[in-house]
Amino acid sequence: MKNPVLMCHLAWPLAVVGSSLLGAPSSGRAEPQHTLYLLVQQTKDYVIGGRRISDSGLFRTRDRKAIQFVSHQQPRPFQIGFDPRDPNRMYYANLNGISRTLDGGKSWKRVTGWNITEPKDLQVDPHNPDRIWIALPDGIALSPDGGDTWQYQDAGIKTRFTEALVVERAFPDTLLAGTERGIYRTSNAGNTWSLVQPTTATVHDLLQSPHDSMRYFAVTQSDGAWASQDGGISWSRIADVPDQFTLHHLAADFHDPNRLALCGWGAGVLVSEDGGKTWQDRTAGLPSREIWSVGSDPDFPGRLYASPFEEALYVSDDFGKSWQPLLFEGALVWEYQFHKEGPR
Amino acid sequence: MTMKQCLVLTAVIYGLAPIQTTALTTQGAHHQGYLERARSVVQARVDLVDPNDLEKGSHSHIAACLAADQHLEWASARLIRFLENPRGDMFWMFPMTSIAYLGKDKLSEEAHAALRHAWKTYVPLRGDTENHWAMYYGSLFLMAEYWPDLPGSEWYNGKSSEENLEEAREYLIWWMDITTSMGQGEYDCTHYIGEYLIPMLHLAAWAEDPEMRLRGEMMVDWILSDFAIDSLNGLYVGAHARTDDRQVLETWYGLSTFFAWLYFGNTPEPPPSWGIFTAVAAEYYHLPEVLYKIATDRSQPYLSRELKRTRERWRFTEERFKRVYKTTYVTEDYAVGSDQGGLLQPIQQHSWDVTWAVDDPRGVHNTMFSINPYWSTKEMQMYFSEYPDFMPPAVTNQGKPTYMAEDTFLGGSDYEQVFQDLDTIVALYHMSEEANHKHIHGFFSKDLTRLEEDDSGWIFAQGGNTYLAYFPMAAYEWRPLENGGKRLYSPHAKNGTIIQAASAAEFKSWDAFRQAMRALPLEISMDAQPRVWMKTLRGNEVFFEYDGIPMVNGKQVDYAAWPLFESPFMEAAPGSRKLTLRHGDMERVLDFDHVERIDRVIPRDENEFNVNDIRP
Repeated sequence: MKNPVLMCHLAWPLAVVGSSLLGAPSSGRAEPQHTLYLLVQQTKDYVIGGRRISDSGLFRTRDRKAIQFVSHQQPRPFQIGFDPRDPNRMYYANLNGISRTLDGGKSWKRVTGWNITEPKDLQVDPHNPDRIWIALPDGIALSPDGGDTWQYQDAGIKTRFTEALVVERAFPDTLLAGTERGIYRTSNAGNTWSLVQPTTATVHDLLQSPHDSMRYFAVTQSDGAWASQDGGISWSRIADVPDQFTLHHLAADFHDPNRLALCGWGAGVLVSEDGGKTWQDRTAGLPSREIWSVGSDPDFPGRLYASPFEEALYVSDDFGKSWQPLLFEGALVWEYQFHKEGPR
Repeated sequence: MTMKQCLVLTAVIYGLAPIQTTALTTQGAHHQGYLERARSVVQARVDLVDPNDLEKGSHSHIAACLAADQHLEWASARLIRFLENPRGDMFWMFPMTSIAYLGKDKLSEEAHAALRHAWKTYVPLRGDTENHWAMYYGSLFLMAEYWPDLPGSEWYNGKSSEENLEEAREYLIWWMDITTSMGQGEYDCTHYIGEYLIPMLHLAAWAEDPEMRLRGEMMVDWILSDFAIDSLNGLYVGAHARTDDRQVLETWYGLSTFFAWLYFGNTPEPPPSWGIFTAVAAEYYHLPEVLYKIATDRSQPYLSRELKRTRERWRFTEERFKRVYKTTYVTEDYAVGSDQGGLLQPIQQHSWDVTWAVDDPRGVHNTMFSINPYWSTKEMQMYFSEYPDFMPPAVTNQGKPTYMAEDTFLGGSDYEQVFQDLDTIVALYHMSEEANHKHIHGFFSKDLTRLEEDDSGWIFAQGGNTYLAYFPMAAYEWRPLENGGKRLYSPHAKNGTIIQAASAAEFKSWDAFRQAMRALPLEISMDAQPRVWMKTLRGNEVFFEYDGIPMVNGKQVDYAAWPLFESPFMEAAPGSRKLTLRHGDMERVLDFDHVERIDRVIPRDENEFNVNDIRP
């Protein structure tokens, strides 16, 4: 989860296609203000050309119980992005490219051509929502016009495999990119990129703190975790995070600026309560240590989600001290996004 | 050469009927044989249909019935049933494309409506390999022509017919350009050849756009000739970007052999698999005699060099496509083929082998080679964009069961480097500490008629009419193989294999061959890197050191000058987008620069090639 979108939107009509493995996870609490979007693969061991047993792709839930399938079938979704000006306009990065909806997910149009494949990340520029940025296996591309046209915008990046992007919310035209060989930064809308932190392996996720825009965190494949206190200009290694595991994702608690979580393959779930200085293992209660993704819920203080590989979506209301399965039994949840929409 | 000498028979043929007839490409026996075999395989598929049973029958049965004009009511009804639950992504798209075109005037109105509905609602994945994209865009192009002028709301991807047509055309032309400039990415695949041949044939058959139709025909020529030059009696020999666990040993058993049977008729018929989708469109392609001759004439030995490229490399390099240097030496008794080794393709690469000719290849393991069994997350991440850890077991679970196995005979290795001089192979290995398997093993077939370990260090063997000498460069032991034969197991990080092949007819006796091999100067070293200096049976001095550039007779191999195609029968320069096929006085030029195909009779004084020049 890179950067929560906090614009207010109208509601979407809810057609329930599934429900929680639990009862109400938050009885007595106020109705959530954010919709949780989940990118999910439900067919295990899916092979291209194979049979899709269950729906896979983009789902959403407002009450964290009833789920709605939003996208077309897509076993390998990567990311979702929202236009803060228009609740019906969303962008969906998946194996086939970028799809765009103008009607809240009722219909989608693929807006990329043959030369864009496997976009690993997608970010809508909060300063100019017509600008859509995508991280690609062969670089970084920008659409300046809401997805109608695309251009590569990665001058200065040598080994171009890019997994993660953050559009700086405090300063326009400034982005950070997690690539195969380190973290790159641009302050001129991608016209030139500079390597601000080399790494020995791919940077898998970047996170800008929701509490302090100058604070950034990064996790890598085999080069541990990194932190920046100056807007991503300089970085230091987080000594307490091991580097023997592949780290996948980061999440920041929306209510407590000192709370962070990360996860990875074999790494389980690690949580920091002191702003990233020290980390505790909070994997107990999950069925495996192969955790694909973690996410924090802006509407439920202390709530953490985790996705053990092809197990289910698990939830913890004490930031990882205890876990329960919530949704999508047997599935892999690739990514979470929260989007604030108007009351139903 | 004057214009009078040059008889240009076919040039740009925009707008002509599917089958062109020229003096060079007459409806000869070779072509008639091809059509008859195609009809027979289609009819065999039709004969499996019970027209009263709507529960059984795949898309191939429907396509066969439409092509044969039989059981048409069943075909429509079964198609409607079949489309209730589409699956298969691009493997669904090309069968549906062929059904749409074959059934244009034969399917019921309801079946047409079901087909239209499926292309509106079922979202196929585009995939992540070139074969996926060839099938996807070849099919999308044709279906966008089939249903022109539809808005995006009528297509699964939200794009209009016009937008889909343009996107597909752009990709297909890009792919043809790069393939005809620096070689095919998934080169010489024993199965995946079909995933390129089928969509190209379908373009040739049904594209309305005359340029795309001609491009399709020319790509079929290109793919088939690329196969033909590396084949021996219909068997795909030497290095493959991709093959499979069975065909790497039983070289007959696979889709490529079906195409050899279909087009060239020079091997027993294997199961057609996806090949049925070429048979149903057979009448739209005219097999040129020059291509047929290249595939079937093994009266003289020849050397073929080819340039290919790797699959797209996402990580660990700034070179998106690495060049692959192929060498294949073919005689009537055997073929020796190789690439340079290394990680050129993920999972299913096969870097080199010797294949010997047999009367009936069915069930025969007529091959010899060695490999370092290799798997790694590096390989996965080089060629796939995913996270590392789940990939190797996922690959193993998803149809590539031997990927991580220590006894696999399939796959390339980061620790293997290969050099070939005519019918001599030197394969060197240097496994690092990180290697998951630190051994090499050689395949010794159950079908060898002789196998002797000699005090000289050579292992002498015979398969068919081929004498084989195998030199293991490190200590080894024998381990039995479940399906017959045995493997030479050598658990040493620095290692190597030398193989020399020869025809039995070259020697007075088996003993004479052994004496000749023993007499060859040979020096090996494992000090710093594995290293070989030797004199081959053909009289050449070969020096090859791991991580070094091979030398022949004191001269370094010039990889920079490697041709796109070079043999007595095929010529193309890198970047040229132009391939010349030649046999006897027949010549066909495939010119993708001008999108034209030119046939001519070569005047005698221009026909400079003399096969005896390269005879060993």
